[in-house]
Formats: sequence, structure tokens, C-alpha cells
Amino acid sequence: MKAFLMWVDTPEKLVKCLAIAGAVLVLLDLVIDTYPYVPRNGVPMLYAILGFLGFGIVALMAYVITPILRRPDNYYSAGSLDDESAGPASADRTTGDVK
Amino acid sequence: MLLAPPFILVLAAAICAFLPSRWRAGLLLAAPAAALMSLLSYSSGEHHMLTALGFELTVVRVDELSRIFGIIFSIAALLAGVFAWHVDDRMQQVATLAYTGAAMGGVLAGDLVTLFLWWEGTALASVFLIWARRTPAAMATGMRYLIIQVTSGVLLLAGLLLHFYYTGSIAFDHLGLANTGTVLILVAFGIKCAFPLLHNWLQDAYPAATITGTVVMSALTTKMAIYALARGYAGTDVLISIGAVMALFPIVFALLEDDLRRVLAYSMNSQLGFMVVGVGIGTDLSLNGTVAHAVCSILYTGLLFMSVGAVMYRTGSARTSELGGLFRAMPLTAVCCLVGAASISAMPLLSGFVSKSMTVSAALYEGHHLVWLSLLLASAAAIAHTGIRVPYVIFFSEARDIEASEAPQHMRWAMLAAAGLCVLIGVIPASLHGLLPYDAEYKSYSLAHVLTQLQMIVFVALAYVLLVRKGLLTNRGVGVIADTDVVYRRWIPRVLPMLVSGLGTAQRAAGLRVESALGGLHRGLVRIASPDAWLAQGWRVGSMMLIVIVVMLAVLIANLF
Repeated sequence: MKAFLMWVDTPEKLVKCLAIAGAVLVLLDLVIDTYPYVPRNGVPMLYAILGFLGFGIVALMAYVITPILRRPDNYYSAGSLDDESAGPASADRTTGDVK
Repeated sequence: MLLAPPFILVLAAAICAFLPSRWRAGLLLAAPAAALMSLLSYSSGEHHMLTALGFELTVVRVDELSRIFGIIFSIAALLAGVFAWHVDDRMQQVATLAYTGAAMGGVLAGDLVTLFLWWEGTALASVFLIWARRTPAAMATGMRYLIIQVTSGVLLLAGLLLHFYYTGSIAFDHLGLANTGTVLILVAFGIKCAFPLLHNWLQDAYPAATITGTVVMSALTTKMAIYALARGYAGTDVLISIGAVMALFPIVFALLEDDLRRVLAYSMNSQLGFMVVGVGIGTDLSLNGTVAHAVCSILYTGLLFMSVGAVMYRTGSARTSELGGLFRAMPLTAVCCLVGAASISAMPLLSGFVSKSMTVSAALYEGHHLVWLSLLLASAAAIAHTGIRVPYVIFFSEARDIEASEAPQHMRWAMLAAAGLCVLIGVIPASLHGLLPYDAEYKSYSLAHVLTQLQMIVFVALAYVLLVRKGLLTNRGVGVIADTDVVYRRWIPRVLPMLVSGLGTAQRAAGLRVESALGGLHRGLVRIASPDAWLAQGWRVGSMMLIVIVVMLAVLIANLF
């Protein structure tokens, strides 16, 4: 397991692993009935499709929306929460809370 | 009655105020444990009835539904107490105990008046967990939080009075949308449970509270509201659509946000959507799903808030733009975070796998196909925005120049315990199923369920990696993401002064005009009617008669028509 985890050191290898795992799961989908409790047959590989395309579309939507929704840190008011500087220097280790 | 769970905690809060530091930290462990013992000693039924203000109050009502919420609240408070062992802040410690007591009182309340009192109690106590940051921004955020929470309480009060007027009952049982009163109560519950458009206090307040405060807040307020919905509005159709929207809309925000505690707040908002759908469907299976998911969500969301909190404790930041590559520095925190992340992703052998699918399946069985698809999409997105993104950006992304060491020992214990419970529920679902309130046959582990869930996880991961490689998921600049709070934090504060000053100017201008018009009239009257003016001169009788005749003629002619 550890040797395997060490082997996955580049994104390419990670993509390869995920693709192989995905292919195996999709092949299994053809053999196993994935809708045992619903009388009529559902869409095959629905979960794979939803996972890949559904999420992909949502993520692209997010990519498009970002510039519209993103505002500077002091958008609401100077000194609002996001505008308050955090950072290692401001962490108070004795009370454990960021000042 | 003083030994009833809520009163143990409130009493502990009162005592806590006068104890020295370490005793207070100890009380944060002892009081939830004592409350749990006390709760388990109660038999099912109504206890501690009393009459006050002309109402018959039921202070403690223990049944299958309230018991499991009470149990998980005390466990969550206990874990949060371990996590907060280092805290030496009277305000936070007293507030935590009082807040836990109020939430416990809320789920045990047998009537709406008692519920209302505890409902406001949670608002008043929890705001101190935000104010304990003691920064100007935290003060302002706390004030916004308090206003919204108290509004929820006021709506609950108005609703319960109307409901009492219509029905003569203050019992807190199934309410449904029977009258205006119960509609108001639903809105009150909806605010606390972060319905879409009523949700923004959650994402506003949770990143603003103290590290330890957020952990306990994430467990209590919203889940108390879920309990209240399950008690009062099971099977209310409108909740199905509300829940589906609620599960979907936070996705985009959770993917974009920079502040990880806000990411988790959005993620939790989406999980609450699943629970609301479960309440809306209202079958035994779906309600069990809601309760099971509330329990699991308290554990894994708490775990995620703890691990992000531990990172924040060591580095001073919870921002994706400032963190990265912390795996070597904080390996145990990373592993615990991964357990929480895998739980929310519904990875087999972890808690989310057991609980999430119950509600999702119930939606399918009852024929709500669109809602079912929405929930599946929300599950897929949760794998990405929380399951992969949160551990990835903190621990595995490109290392930044951050000095950090492993979380303190007590934090590690708290995280390990929470992770252990996630694994326990995942491996032995019966440990959770045995506590669920309704009788519904559900098998968590079937070949189909494991296969489909693994498919979803692998394909979301694949999409995520590919998108990151294409640069389509990377953080594009930092800054706040505008949500609905833009209305009351930006637009109204901008527009209102303009409106007021505009109205003021208009009013002054109109005043001047009226004055000048009145002045003209006055001058005219002076000209003709002052003592030495034309009208006041001595007139001859003949001309007077002429005027009278002309006037009488005019009246006569006017009468002809």
C-alpha cells in the first residue's frame, strides 16, 4: 500500500490510476444490477455519469461565475472579517485563538 | 428537575463563571458527561410538568426522537470540550456550557413555550462564542448573527401565540401548515436551519467565531432546528423542494470560497438540505435518514472543523490561499481530516455512507425523481468541494513557507475520537440504526450501493484532477464571494443613506416652495385686506347692493342647472 502510494507521485499517474479504477467499476456495473429496489431498470452507470459530467458541469459553472461574484476583501467594510489580517504572527498560542 | 440534562449544563455554566481556569476546562468535560448520564436515566415520556404564565409546560419530554438528539449533542459537546482543553477564557467556557444546555433543552422541550425559551437561549449564549474573538469584525458579525437569531425567536413566539389562539394548544407535536401561526413557526425553524435565502448567517458567523467556538456551534444550532422540523413538519411537501434547492445552491460557493471554515459552512448547509428533504418526504425511512444524517453530520462536520481549527491554531490561517503542503508537519491532523472528508464523501466503511443514502433512497422510492437526482448531484459535489478540496489544499497541495507543528495532544485526542466514531458507524451500522426513532428496514451495505458509491467517488476524483490540471478549479484570486448577504451588508447600507438624504433634500425643497407660495398669498391678502387697503375702505350703499344682487343672481343661475 505504502509502495503504491509512493508510486503515485505525479498527476499523470494519479489520473491513470483513477481512470483504471473507473473502468473496472464501469465494467462491474454491466454485471451487477445497481437498482435492486426499483422495479424498472434505471439508467446504467448513472453514478459515474453524474460524478464526472454532473460535477464537471457544476465546476465549470463555478469557473464562469467566479469573476461575477468575487469581491475584494474589504468589500463590505474596511476591517470586516475577511479584511482582518490573519497569519502566523497574529495567532496567539496561549489562548489558542487568532487575535 | 435541576438534575434534568439542560439544567445540569446551565447550572454548570453558572458555576463555571466562578471557577479557576483548569477547573473550568474540566467542567467542560464533566457537565456534558453528566448530562448524558442524566438523559439516559430518563424513561420515555413527559417529565417535569409545571404551570407558568397560565401555560402547562412540559420541560422534559423524552422519546426515541429527542433521545438520540440529546445523546449526540452531549457527545459533540464532550468532544468539543476535549478539543478546547487549552482554552483559558471564562467567556467562551461559560457560553459553551450555557449554549449546550439551551440546545439540549430545545430538543427535550415538550411544548412550544419551553422550546421558545431555549431557542432564544441558544442565540444569546452562542453569540459569545463569536464575540470571544474580541476583534471589531467579530463584534459586528456577532451582532448580525444575534439579530437574525433573535428574529427567528420572535417569529417563533408570534407563531406560537397565533397557534395557541387558533387551537388552544401549545403542545409541540406535529404542526404542519395548519394556520398562520404554524407557517410563522416554520419560517422561524427555517432561519435557524439555514433555508435558502435565510441561510447567510451561517456562512457569516462560523468563520468569525473562535476556533473552538465554531466546533461546538457547528454541532448544535442547525441540528436543533432539524430536530424541530422533524418533530413539527414531517411530511410537509414544501420541504422537499426547499431541501433540494438547499442541497444544491451552496455547491458553487463551497468550490469558490477561500476561507476553509466558510467552505465547511457551505458544505454543512448542503448536508442540511438532505435532512430537510428527509423531513419533507416524511416516511419512516426518510425520517430515520434525517436523524441518522444529523448524527453523522455532527460527527464528521465537527471533525472537519476541528482539523481546520487545529491547522488554524498552528498557522494562524484557515485560508486556501495561505495554506498548503502541511502533511509532513501535521500528519495526524491530516489523517483525521481525511477521515472526515471521506465520511462526507460517503466512502464505504465510514459514517456518511450509512446515513446519506437513506434519505436519497427514500426520495427514489417515493417517486421524487428530480429531487433524487439533485441529491445525487449534491453528493457528487460534496465529494469534490469538501471531500477532496479541503484536505488537498491544506495538506497535499504545493508546500508554502509555513512554520507549523502537529496539533496539541488534546486536539489530537478529540479528533481521533471523532474519527473513531465515524469509522465505528461506518463499519457497524447497527450501532447507529439501533438508536433511530422509527421502524424502517434499511440495509446499508449492498453490492449495488457500494459499487455505485465507489463509481461516483472515483469519477468525481477524476473530474477534479483533470479540472485542476487544466487550471479550471484553481483559486482565481482571493476575496469574498458575494452571497445574499450582499443585500443587507452592502446594498441597503449604501442605498438607505442616499434615500434618506435624497428625501431630506426633496422635503426641504418642497418646504421652500410651500413657504414661498404661502408668502405670496399672505402678501396678496395684505395688499387687499389690510386696514388701509382697498377692501377696508368705506364703500357706498349702492355699490354694496350691486354686489349683493350680482351674487344672488349667480346663485340663482347656478341653481337652474
